[in-house]
Amino acid sequence: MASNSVGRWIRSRRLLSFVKSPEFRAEKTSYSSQQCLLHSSSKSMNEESNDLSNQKEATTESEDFRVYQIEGLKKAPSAKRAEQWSKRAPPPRYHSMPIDQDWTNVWPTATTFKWSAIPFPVRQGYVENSSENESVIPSKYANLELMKGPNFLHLTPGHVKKHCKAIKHFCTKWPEGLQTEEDCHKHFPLESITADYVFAGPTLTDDRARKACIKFKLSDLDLDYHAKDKFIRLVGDRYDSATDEVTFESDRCPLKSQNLEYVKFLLTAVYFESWKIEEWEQRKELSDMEKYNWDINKSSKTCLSLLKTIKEIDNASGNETSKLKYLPEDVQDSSSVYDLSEIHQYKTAVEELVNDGENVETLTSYKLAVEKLLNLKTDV
Amino acid sequence: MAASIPKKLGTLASRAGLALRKSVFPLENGSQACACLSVAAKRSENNQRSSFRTNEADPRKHTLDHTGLYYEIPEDEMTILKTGIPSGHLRLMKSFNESCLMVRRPALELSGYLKNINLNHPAPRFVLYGRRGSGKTITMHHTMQCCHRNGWIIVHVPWAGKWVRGWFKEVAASTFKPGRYDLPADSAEWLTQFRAQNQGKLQDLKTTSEYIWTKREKAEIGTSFEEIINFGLTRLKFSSDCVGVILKELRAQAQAKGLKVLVAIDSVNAFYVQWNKLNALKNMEKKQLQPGEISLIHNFKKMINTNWTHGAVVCAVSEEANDETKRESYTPIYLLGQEGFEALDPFVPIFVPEYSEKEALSNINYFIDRNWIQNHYGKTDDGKRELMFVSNKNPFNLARICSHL
Repeated sequence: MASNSVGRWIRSRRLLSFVKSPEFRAEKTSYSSQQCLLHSSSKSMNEESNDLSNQKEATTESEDFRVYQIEGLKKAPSAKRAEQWSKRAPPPRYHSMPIDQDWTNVWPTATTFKWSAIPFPVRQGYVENSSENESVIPSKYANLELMKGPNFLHLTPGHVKKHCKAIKHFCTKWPEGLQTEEDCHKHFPLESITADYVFAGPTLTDDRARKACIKFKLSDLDLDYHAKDKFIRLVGDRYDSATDEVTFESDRCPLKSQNLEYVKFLLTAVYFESWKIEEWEQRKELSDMEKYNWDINKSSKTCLSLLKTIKEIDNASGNETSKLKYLPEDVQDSSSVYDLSEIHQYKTAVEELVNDGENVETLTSYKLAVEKLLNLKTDV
Repeated sequence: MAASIPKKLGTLASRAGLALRKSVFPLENGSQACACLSVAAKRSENNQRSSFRTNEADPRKHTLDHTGLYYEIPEDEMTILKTGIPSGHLRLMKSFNESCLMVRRPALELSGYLKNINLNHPAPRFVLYGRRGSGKTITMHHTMQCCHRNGWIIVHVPWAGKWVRGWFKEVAASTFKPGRYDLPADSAEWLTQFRAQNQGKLQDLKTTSEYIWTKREKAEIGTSFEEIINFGLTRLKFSSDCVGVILKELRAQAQAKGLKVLVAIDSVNAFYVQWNKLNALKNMEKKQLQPGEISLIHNFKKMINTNWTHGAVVCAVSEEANDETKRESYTPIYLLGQEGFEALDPFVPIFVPEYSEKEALSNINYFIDRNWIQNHYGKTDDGKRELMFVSNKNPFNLARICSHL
């Protein structure tokens, strides 16, 4: 660095000495005379330039050498100051906003975040470390992060009130007798959802407007156990077991009314189809069952055979106290065994355990049922 | 170390101007009594006063009043029990120079059921379930000790998961039935364990039918169990068949001879749930074996059936026996799967909970007594509370956390 500046200094000295030399001076004068020739059309100019060149020569002769002016070292007085002043932006609007202004007039429609019109401080952005922006999150001024996201400054309560006021005279009175949600659901079990899209453009049609959807509760349909099960299997993921709601949706036809008709047809078709019992439905196996049914599972068979063996043993042994007392004389008749309260309790316990999942309640009830079934006792 | 402490104390005492002999005397006595190097090994004399011990060493006499208290198992009974106790627990017992177990509610419940069962009825099934490390195995051992004292024959499978996993394991085609596979080493191990666990109970037992091993070798009617076991141990090829013979004879003779048979199977879900493909047992053609194809498991599944009397089946289900993808819950039906549930149903599920406040405190006090917890903070009330909180009162976690205090 130091050597560089020294070099530069030497070069400038050389240049200066060159300026000082008589050859350079000769060249300079010849050049100025040529310039004079170019401007010969105007006499006065020519004279002036001649005067200037004479003056220059006079000054160079009077001083040792000219001082080299390093560009930018001294601040040059700006000639365009007034012009620049006129180009400056006015102060941001939020400085002159009254506190009780109507915000809906300031921000009438949805638009990008505009820092100068926001009368409150807001910061957004990420500062990586303390060296960046003095670890302060950037303010709203020229903040791109604030402009990227959507804002809801056009949807304040004041805006909504104005909108409502504007469209109120299009509305009709809310019908009597539909005050609660339950009333609405009772009188109008089928809910249809469609949407219209209005916008200014060369065409008023919108593809999305043809979509139609209906929703209803499965419990509102008249279905028996088999039909309900079949209905759920037919509609698949259109049924939500948590809310007991079925949703049919269609956008396959070009018109909204056609789609609406189609979903209503779907409902009719599925409803009547679920009431039918096909021949192949008789071949339903255990793994196809919608839920655990004790009577047709292995558990019932093992239980029955176990009770039969116990009865045989009890009959053979004379000990009265250790017998399983609740068993009837004839256990060969399975229906009589299934009617016993102990068996019934055991059956419900197993079904709950498998269908509702294992938890403290179901496991405890299963344990109690088995204790009763096999006459097991503990002191604890 | 032991010698230097009294010396230091002695100098301290003399500096303080105390009567030297009086203060050092009890310490010297103590160091003489302690022949072992370990400080923990020293038997404390005030057992009766400690809040976490009971002098009732007979598990049959334990009641709910004893819950949370430790009782000592005599050395001769430890030889019967120790095959199934987890190795970490055994190491602790060795370090403490005594074999103590805690009396807990599920064990009492189980013993209560076994006390009241009608032996003439088909063997009832009990399934212990609980979170990992909550003490299912120890509960089972408590019951086993009970039954041992009552003269039951113990058929114990310490860890059924071992039989479905194949790390460099010898698998041989069954000599009895094609399509089944033997585990000669595991069968021999089980035979040795069975003999050790039932010493003195097998003399009167003789086979009731003839078993032909090969053209030249056979077991006549009336061969003693000892001979069958010896044959299995000398001819490893037939060890799995010997296990089958013993189990079959036990089932057949239990009623006639008035035997009482306790079948205790730890992690029984390994019998029903497929182990993962990577290290499941494979046959000679590298085909993965189903649990039912293994002759040992096939024979033990018969013990779980209800077609025999004069016995009881105590099983434990554990998450570790299931493949890693099937460990979401610790409840019995989830772990057993459909097949396992159908095989065991109807069973009595017995929940083995984690420690209660009292039990956890008793465990920590026991560790302090055994000098297992030496950190001063660990001995304070705050420290104990922190230990309970950090371990969530899970017995296994508590022992693990205390191992470096």
